[in-house]
Amino acid sequence: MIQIIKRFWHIASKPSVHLSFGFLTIGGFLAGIIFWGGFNTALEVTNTEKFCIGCHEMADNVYVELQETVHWQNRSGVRATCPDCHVPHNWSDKIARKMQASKEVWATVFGTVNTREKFLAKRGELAQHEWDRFSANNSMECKNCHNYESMDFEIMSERAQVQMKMAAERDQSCVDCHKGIAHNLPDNMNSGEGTLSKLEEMATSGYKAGNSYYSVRQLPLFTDETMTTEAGQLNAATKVTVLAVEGDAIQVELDVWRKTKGFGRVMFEDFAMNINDGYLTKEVAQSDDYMNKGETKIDDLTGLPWQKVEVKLWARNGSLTESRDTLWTFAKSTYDTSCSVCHTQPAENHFDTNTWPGMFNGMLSFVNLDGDTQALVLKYLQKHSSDFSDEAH
Amino acid sequence: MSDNHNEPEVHNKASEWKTFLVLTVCLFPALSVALIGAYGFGIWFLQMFLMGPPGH
Ligand code: HEC
Ligand code: HEC
Ligand code: HEC
Repeated sequence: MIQIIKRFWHIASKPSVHLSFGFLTIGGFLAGIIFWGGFNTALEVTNTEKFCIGCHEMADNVYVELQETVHWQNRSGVRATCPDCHVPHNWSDKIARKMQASKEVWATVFGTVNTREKFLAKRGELAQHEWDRFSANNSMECKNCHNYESMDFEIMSERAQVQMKMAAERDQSCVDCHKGIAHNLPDNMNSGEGTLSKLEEMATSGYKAGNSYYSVRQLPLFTDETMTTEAGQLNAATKVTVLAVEGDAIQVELDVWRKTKGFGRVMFEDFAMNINDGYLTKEVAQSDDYMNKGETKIDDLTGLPWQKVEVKLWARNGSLTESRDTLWTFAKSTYDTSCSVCHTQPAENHFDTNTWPGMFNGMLSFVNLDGDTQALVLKYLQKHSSDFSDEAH
Repeated sequence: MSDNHNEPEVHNKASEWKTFLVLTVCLFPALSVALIGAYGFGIWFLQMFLMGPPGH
């Protein structure tokens, strides 16, 4: 053996005697092209759904589940395959993902998850890896096919509209809200279904002009009582004063602050506090027809001017409640149960009001909450943060 | 190696061909795959310990 290697090295390290310079260069060049072609072809093969379901672990579990979903069959006739959602397009990350698959190959060879039971027991951990990835890349794979700018919100259901517009506003990661879009959720995770009805149950009816109420969920706002032109969106648990009730429509007044830099579309509950009360459309935000402007103050911390405004708009008659306490109770129990999966679930007053949004967004990749509940829980946390808590932290 | 220099060792056309083929068909492709693999593992480990999952 040593002898062969020595001899090989001896020949390889000397100029060739019999093979011409041109031949060696062209030969090496061609071999390089063929190699690269072959390499990419092989890479493409590992990037097909057929390859992914080559292991029965995938074929018997996630693949059959996918067949029940919109991404298997839909009116547009577009099929999302495993690599569409799971493999990064960037070359380096793709290669890294392929190497990670060595773990999956290992698991197959040694049968770590070779039964449905073992797979289900592992699912929580596996799903978590994907959620982490989607939250880090802002659901880039979804956005390869879907695009907030191309969505026709008008033809969505009202609930989808409000939440999706809120999401588009922040370019939020799709998987924050659409967990379990392609496969069953891990066992210990509630499906998030039914929270809307729970929220609606908290709403009261028979609103009186002059009284104040709180929205139980995110609601669309309109410019007038015909409710045809959209004016913006109201966030969950936001205080409104009812000015008039006209059948299906109610006129509401919002006492809010906004930053005057830019269009001033975002409404905040309090001066210099990022507690979101909703958004206005650009037209409404720039028009004087719907608001009275109040005092302007500078936030010393950021140097930005804030302005107090009273906004008068219309909403559908419904989905308001008299007190925030029931909302807070619901938010607290949701926070306590859903977020207990986090290793260290911080106390409400552990952070201040303006720190909570960032912290909470970081937690969203762990929990399955719909957009209404996310908004409600975030507001609950902000309103019980160290800024409002009596105990010093 | 250096003492090999003076020995007029015979290497004929066939052995040069063999060496060329071993290099282009086996060794370099295998090395390339190994290198790319190592690169992939490297990124993966970086992601695990330093960078977190791939961002944008
Ligand atoms: C290969 C392209 C593709 C990818 C990748 C993709 N989708 Fe889709 N998605 C579609 C198509 C096509 C439809 C169906 C459109 C229709 O209604 O005809 C759809 C529908 C949906 C729907 C509507 C469900 C319903 O019941 O109407 C949601 C929600 C959704 N996708 C979310 C996601 C999320 C979240 C991701 C990322 C994890 C994702 N999609 C990735 C193509 C894709
Ligand atoms: C804040 C939470 C949230 C985020 C983030 C979010 N969605 Fe949605 N989306 C919803 C809700 C709620 C619905 C309504 C679901 C329902 O009606 O069952 C919805 C509905 C949809 C629908 C169906 C629309 C219809 O006609 O009913 C599609 C498609 C969709 N989302 C795609 C996406 C994509 C793609 C992304 C990321 C680019 C995304 N969503 C991000 C909350 C969100
Ligand atoms: C529309 C996008 C989409 C497609 C297509 C898709 N997945 Fe997923 N997959 C996800 C998301 C999102 C998760 C994160 C867990 C969750 O939300 O259910 C996930 C999670 C997983 C997991 C972790 C375990 C689990 O169930 O959570 C595996 C394994 C998996 N997918 C394999 C596959 C395979 C194999 C295919 C092809 C047959 C496939 N996926 C197709 C979006 C997709």
